[in-house]
Amino acid sequence: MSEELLRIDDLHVAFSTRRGMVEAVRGVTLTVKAGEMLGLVGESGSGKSVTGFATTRLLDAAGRVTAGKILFRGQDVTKLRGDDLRQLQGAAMSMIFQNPRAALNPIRAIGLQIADAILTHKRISKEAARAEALDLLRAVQIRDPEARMNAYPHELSGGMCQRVMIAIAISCNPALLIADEPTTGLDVTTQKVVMDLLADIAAARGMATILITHDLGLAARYCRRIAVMERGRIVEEASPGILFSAPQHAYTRRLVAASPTATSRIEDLVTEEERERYAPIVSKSRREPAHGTPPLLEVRKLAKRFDQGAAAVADFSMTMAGGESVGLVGESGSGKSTTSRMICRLIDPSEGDIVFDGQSIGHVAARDFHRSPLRKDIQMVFQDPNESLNPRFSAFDCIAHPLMRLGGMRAGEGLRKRVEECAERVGLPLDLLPRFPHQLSGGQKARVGIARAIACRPRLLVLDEPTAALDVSVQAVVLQLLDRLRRENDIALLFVSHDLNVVRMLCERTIVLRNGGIVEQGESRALFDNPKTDYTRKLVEAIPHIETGPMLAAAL
Amino acid sequence: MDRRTVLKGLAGAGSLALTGGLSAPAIAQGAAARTLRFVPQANLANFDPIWGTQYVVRNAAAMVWDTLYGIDSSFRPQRQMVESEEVTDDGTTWTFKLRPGLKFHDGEPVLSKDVVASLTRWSARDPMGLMIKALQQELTAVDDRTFKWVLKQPFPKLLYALGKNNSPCSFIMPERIAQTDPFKQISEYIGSGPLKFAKSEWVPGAKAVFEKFADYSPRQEKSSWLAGGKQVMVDRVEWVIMPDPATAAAALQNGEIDWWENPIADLVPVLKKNKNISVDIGDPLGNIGSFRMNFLYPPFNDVRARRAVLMALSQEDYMRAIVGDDNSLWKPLPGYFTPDTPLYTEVGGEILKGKRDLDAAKKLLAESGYSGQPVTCLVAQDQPITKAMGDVTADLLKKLGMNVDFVATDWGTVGSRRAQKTPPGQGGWNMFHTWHAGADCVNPAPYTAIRANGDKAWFGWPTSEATEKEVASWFEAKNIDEEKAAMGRLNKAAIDDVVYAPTGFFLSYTAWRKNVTGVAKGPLPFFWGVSKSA
Amino acid sequence: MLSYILRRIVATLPVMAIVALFVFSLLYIAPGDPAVVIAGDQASPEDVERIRQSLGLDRPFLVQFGGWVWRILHGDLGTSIFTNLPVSAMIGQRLGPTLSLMIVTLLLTIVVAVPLGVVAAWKAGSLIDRVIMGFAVFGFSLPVFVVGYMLAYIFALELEWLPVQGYTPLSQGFWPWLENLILPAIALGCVYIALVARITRAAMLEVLQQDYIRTAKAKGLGQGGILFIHALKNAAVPIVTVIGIGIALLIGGAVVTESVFAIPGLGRLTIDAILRRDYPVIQGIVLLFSFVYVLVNLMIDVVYTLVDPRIRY
Repeated sequence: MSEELLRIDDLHVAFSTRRGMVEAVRGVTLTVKAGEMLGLVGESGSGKSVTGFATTRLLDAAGRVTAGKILFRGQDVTKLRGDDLRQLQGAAMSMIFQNPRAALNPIRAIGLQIADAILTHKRISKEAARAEALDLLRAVQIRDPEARMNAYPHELSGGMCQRVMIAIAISCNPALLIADEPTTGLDVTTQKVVMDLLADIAAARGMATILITHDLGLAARYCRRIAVMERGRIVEEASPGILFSAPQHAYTRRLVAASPTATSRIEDLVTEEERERYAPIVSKSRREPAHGTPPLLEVRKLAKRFDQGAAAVADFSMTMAGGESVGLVGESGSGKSTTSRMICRLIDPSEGDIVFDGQSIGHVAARDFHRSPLRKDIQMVFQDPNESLNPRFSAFDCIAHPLMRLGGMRAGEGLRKRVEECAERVGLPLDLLPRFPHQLSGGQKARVGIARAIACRPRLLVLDEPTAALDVSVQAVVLQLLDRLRRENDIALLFVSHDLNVVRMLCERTIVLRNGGIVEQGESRALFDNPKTDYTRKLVEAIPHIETGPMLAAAL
Repeated sequence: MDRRTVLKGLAGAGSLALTGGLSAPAIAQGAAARTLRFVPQANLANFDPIWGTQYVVRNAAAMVWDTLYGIDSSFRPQRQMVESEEVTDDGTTWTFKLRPGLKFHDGEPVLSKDVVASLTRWSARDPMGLMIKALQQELTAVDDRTFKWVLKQPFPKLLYALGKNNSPCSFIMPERIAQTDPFKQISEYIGSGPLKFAKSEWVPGAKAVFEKFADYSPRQEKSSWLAGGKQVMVDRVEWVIMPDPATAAAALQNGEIDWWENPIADLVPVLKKNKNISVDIGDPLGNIGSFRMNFLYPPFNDVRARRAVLMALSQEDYMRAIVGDDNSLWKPLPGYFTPDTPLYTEVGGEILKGKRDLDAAKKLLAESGYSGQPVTCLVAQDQPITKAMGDVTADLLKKLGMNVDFVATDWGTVGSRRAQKTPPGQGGWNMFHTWHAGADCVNPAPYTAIRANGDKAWFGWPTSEATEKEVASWFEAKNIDEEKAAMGRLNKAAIDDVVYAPTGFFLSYTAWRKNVTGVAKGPLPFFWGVSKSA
Repeated sequence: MLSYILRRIVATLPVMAIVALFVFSLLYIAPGDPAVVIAGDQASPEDVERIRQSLGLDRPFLVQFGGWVWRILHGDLGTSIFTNLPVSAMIGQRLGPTLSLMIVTLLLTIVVAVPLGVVAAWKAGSLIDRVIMGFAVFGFSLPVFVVGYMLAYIFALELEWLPVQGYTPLSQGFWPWLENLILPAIALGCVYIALVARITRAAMLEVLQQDYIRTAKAKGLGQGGILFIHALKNAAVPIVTVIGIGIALLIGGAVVTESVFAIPGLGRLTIDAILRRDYPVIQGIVLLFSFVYVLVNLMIDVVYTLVDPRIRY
């Protein structure tokens, strides 16, 4: 089992863009042995996916291998043409992609899509191919596979779609499987099931696997060897144990630090030098609200029914004090986003009431709430900073907009000062203010989104998966920022996320939702350390913590 | 419902429509040589030559229905269906006898009662017919072949009226059809002429088919225009309507058609170059262009303003705009009547001759009291002839210092708007262009446009007592010299009062393939005597 | 599905009623008068007036409209003022040629434009792409009659391969029928091919960037399989839409094409009727066209469901 299957040697990949050639991969060298699972970890833009695409020859038309070799069973993949190439693709080597629903043809029955792959490489009848496809659906543990053969992707859940993708990928028993962020975007519980399945299948069939991921925890859980990439280069390669206990490269150290673990605190997410500056803020004890102070937010028996079918949210009640942080967690479809939007007054509840600072706002129609004086007290930060910023507004305009609309400020010196103040609060360099969203990095955009939300000095900030699209290092910084805002400005945070590690660190209290109802709630640490319901326990266990010991032992 | 059913249904519906629509019988190879394919000047949109008076209807009708008399190429009425006629000395009672053996296309004999009904319907619509009707005492059938027309006063031009080629002609139809209200359309086309109308093959706007009528008995004389023996040498005449002249030209070059009635001037050089095609003047009587003015409202209610137009207008400009550079296609026309016909005259036409005097015209216009009111010109853009003249007129009136209100529209609109007697600002008009077939301008009888009896006159409602007086004296003229004298005076009177402004005389070509022989020059295309070799 | 189609057809009735009223009013207020055209240039105003009376054109608007609607409801489209033939018979005579022209053009367009668009998208940015798109711009900007003349000159006059003009019904044989339709279909199809090719290219370009195309490549599928099985069907909705919209374009273009190639179709009948003010014919044709248009839209919607399983009615 130690023969060398794939050898990438000094690989360079460049993309031609409007600003000239950009090197995405600059000298990657790595090997994969038959049957092993290699983790390729890095943040966005590190070149890890590009390396995968170059290996499977699926680079965009703009991308080109400019130097180096990719030897697969001794044959240079970069030089293959025509039929030779097609015999390799899907047969000897296959790939699984991020966002499985988009990776499947939306208007072709999934049985046919699996059969397509089989028929491309085997000279068998359509019936035989169909029978094989059915076996594959069974192999990836899809329930009722006969009926699912004729289903279309939109009729399946994300996890099911990824299983179908796996079925396609393994249909011709490839020697190498490249899985590019196979579980990103899936619920934690689904993530675990899919990854377990993938690992089992790879082991059973003796397939070598490259797991490309940004999630160090995930790689640590399933791989015996991890290569860390940064800016087109491999900076370190080691077993997970060594990587976590004694990271050599500065980048690896930062990455390891930023990756949340079962026990990490927000202040742990940065390297030690940075931690020192943060310590005094955390140590400052929060002043307790005077006894008998009414809660900032009180939600009573909230329910939401959409046009057809069951309630999306039912009988939801909670309270929040000023400056408190509460996490709202659950799988997709549990109703957490719907609840947060009702509290933000973006959608109208079907039943129940919302009382903010002693005033009932549940009955103000959502479309009129922007005129309410309370609008500026409740602000939100959205999931995807790319899509929630107006591409025609500069960073300055984005932050100034709510000040003018809600704060009644006019353009001028006063406005400029306030905007700069907000930018400073969120750590956004002032020279970035004239830039437009596309000229900013993901982390910078997230800061603009937060600066915009705090511009009017709200008392409640509702955050809907604010870090889901961010790299871990950026996530760490944003989480610290939010925590600091809460502590220093007494802003209450309602934090909606499926990432339990993050919620545990940031939120004092956590509410677990399932199918629109509250399953469990309580003080975060207690809840995670000692879940009372199976559902919560399953959620907690599914988190790919960086737990070096037991997994490795099991694998060895 | 699945995809296949949809497709099947579609295919079924499609093939039904495709095969069911036009089901002309297939023409065998040999028969093609006996079919003459002709592209007429316009679409045969209706086929009642009394009800609808367009030339194209008359041309088709001349194949299908015969007349009692026929005008020959020297404008004399000759016997056609009539065997003999008698007139009493006082000129009031006419007795006619039909030729024996005349048959309608349904096989029935042509009888006096059919003639009486046909003449009655015709005389209700034809200008000359109306004059006769006004004098009529009785029109009766004496026996099957004899009929009598009794008038209160003599009408010397009676036989001319019965044989003239101007629309409507006095075509003879079966009695039951001729009894149709003259203002309603007939729907049965039983003819008396040398060709039958194949109604089942008629696609108005696209095709009309005429078949040789075997039982027609032609006269023995040589044919000359509408007179003489109408011997049909082909089995079928197919009229193919082609809206696009370039297509007609190509089809003629390709041999897909045999004869094109009126090739446009631009395409004539191409046709002339082709050795398989003959090109010649088709109708020697040509056309007269008209600049028609409204006598009811300023500025053209004043004769000085009308004369100013005559003084300034250059017929050469108008004619070149219509026919292009071909000098054989036009003539200056210092008068109103068709050149190269027996009664042609230029008396009084000096104002239209010689160098154009714009300054004098402007002065005259000023004297008329014109001071910049808008002059509404109705110009049909869908007719090449009126469009060409309209462009010249806009330029001319501007040069005269007039304020031109140019209404570019289609012929249908000009047709109805010119009938409005309201002031130009309220739906009326000041001038429009048209043209008259030279055949209608050989003498005053068919020439409605020359009449100047005010309200009763043609559009523009000219009033000129002198003109009207001379029209009457032509009708009363007993011989050719008297006629000529009356015509001279008429021409002068009409020019003096400017009944309308003639813009010139123009001709057009006709073109046919060289394997077609016997194409005669005349006011309409004659299909008898024409033969085709393979 | 069937009930949906039935409901849609019923829903067209008010649309057609509005179209009918609109057209009738428009004709009523438009200048021009059929009586004038019938009477000819030499007729007296009295004659014109008597013809108007005999045609019933002097009656009040509502009486005329009411009478017309009443007859329509009884399945009678009326009688042409000019030819004295039933409007339905006149339309029937012209339906075959126009339908033939449309069908041949449609097939030609699909057979030519879709592969061109697919190839252009596949080879986006290459010389082939630029040549195809160059042709598309060319086809779009050349008027139908210019293309028609050029084709007739080259293929009929010079090479003598095909006839210049005319129409032969299908009942006289397939080739004689097709022979007369090839040039007109190309002339008429030019704009349409250009349009469909462009839309196909745009739709394909978008689809080719989708993740599932990458999946198809990763499976090792051949270029043809990727383009035609996976990409084209996904791009089909906009293509089908534009083909449908194009049918309206075809109706307009058919008028010119039928004139240039002397095809006795509905387009020419329309123009003739409008120029002569043959009201019953104009109304009948407009009614027919609006019905066809509604039907085409319905067909497009039905085709959507065949192409895309996510669309359901």
